[in-house]
Amino acid sequence: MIEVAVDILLLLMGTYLVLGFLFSFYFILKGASKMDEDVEGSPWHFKLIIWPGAVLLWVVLLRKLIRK
Amino acid sequence: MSDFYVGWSGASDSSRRFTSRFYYSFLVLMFVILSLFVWLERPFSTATFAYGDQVELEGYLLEEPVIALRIQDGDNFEILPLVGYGKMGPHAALENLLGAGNYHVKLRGTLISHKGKRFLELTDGKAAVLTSTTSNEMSHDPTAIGAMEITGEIMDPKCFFGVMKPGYGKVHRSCAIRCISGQIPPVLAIRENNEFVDFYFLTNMEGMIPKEDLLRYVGKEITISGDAFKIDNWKSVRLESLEMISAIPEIAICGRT
Amino acid sequence: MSVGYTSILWNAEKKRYDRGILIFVLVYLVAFYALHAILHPNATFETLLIRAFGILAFFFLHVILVIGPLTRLNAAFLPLLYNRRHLGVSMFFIALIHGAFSIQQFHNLGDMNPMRSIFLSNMEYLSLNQFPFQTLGFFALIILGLMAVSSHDFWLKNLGPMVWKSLHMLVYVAYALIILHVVLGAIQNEKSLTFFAIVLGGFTSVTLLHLVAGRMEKRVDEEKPIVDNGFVMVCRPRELEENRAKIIRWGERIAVFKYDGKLSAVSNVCKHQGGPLGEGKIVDGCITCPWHGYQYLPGNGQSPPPFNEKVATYELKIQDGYVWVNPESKGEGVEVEPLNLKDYE
Repeated sequence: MIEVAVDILLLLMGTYLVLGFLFSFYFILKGASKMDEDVEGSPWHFKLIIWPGAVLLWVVLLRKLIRK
Repeated sequence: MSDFYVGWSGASDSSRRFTSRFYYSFLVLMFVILSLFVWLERPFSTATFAYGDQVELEGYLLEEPVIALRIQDGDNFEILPLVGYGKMGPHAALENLLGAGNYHVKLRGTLISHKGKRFLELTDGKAAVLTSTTSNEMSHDPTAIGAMEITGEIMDPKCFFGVMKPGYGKVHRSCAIRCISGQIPPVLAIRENNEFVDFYFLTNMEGMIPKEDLLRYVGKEITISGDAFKIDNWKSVRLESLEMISAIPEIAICGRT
Repeated sequence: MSVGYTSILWNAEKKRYDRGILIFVLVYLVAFYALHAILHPNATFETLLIRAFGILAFFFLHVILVIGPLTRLNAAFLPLLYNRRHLGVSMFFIALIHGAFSIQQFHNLGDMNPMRSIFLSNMEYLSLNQFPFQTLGFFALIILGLMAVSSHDFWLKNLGPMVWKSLHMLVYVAYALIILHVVLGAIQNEKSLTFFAIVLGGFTSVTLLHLVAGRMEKRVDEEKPIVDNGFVMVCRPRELEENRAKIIRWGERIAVFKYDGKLSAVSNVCKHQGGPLGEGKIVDGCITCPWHGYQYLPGNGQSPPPFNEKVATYELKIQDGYVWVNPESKGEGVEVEPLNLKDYE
């Protein structure tokens, strides 16, 4: 019982991270500047520093991008 | 509040003095806590794991009560139980030899030693077996001690005898469970005056390691009964019954090693 | 203030702050290993590493949690708040080292995936003293990670202040998990009750400081202002200190500033991280937030160009020798003619 619950939890977390990883490339290359015009022309190390956030918070970002 | 701080314009001297005082008092507080911690921390055992320093040993390969190397030094025999790399038993490294008769082998591995007992970790997996020749000689002769009932704690010997410190207790419990689950043979450790003084390998009636049944008792105080045997410098018990005495052994709170 | 982004915005003060963190960590680590080399020469390197980083992260978390209430009790602590986010990110990395090495040491190289092993090695979820405490640390680390990756101002702006603030309030959940992680884990391995006393002392300090600071704010909020004709009474003009403000609570908090013989009122909430503008000061003609130095022109609530933050402005009047404010905002960044005190002398 616990084993099944843990496997489901880890599977969900893994899937979330994989999807976030895929999304993050789109976000860093395009989505971020679409969402916030100040991102335009920012240096590569700024994009690097927001990259982990794009992986972990992709659900919120995707929702905001769709609404926009 | 005449002294207003704006980060980008820098702080005034008095503000800087205040911040420095705060900083240094926290540094002192940290040092006090750290000193208390180190002072009161439970002592670490003198067990050793010769990490990065492998030795070559020759002897007979035993399969019961646990997989071990029996080496001879003059008239004395010593049993060195074998373990694999990480939290695994030696099975993968000895795949071609186990259950295939009696072997005289030369093994390379890393020594683990504590309380006059030594283990050999087959660090390099299959490459740890340098030579192996079949042998018709009976490699060991266990002596029966008789039926007994003993109380102690189940631990994973690889960590306890040197790889980790402390290799027992609450924090280590998960690791011990992984090790025993990975076929490192479980040991019942007997405590006297907060010191572990005596050790028994646990096997089931068929002489095999009863891993599944034991996992939930790891790190707890239990009483077992069964027939005990002595093989050179080690003892083992064929488990007949097992009863839990306490979920938190006293050792977890006030033990030494 | 946002005009384009860069990775890490450093200035002299922030560099000083970060140097402070780095020196603290180095001094601590040297002391930790030196004391062990003297008193516990038999200790293993991995165990020391896990303990050193675990204790340091736990200590830093306490420092981070007390900075907030300390600044509310005494503005002299504000320099500590100024770059708290770098302390937070440092703390996350320290905790990550502790977590990663613990997983490597206790769960990796076995017959089970180490992630599964965190949850499935010790399964006594119904027991208190046998509880698998590693799981608590695991979830706390996830929360600290979410906070660390979203600490850049880009996230504050683009997640929106509500989402961002809720995410960062989770630090209290993480704190609770970590307290349990320590009490049900490492402390169980030790014989001395002093360890328990130290943890209790830390927990009590954090709780007490929050209670005291919260109580003080509540007192300000509970002052019932006098209302007349839709205007709320502030105070007599001379009670206001030059270049400073008085904060009025009527629905929203409003900050009424006095400068150059004039009065202006703006929202008390800074657009950056919701800092209390009314506790700030007018510097070079701009209202300056005490937290991170964000600036607004008192007359229209707008950040001076090239910045583009805007806070709400409010209408003021003088009647019967008192300053009154209309709590209906004029809107964010809307020009409101400052009240000239000379006209009333």
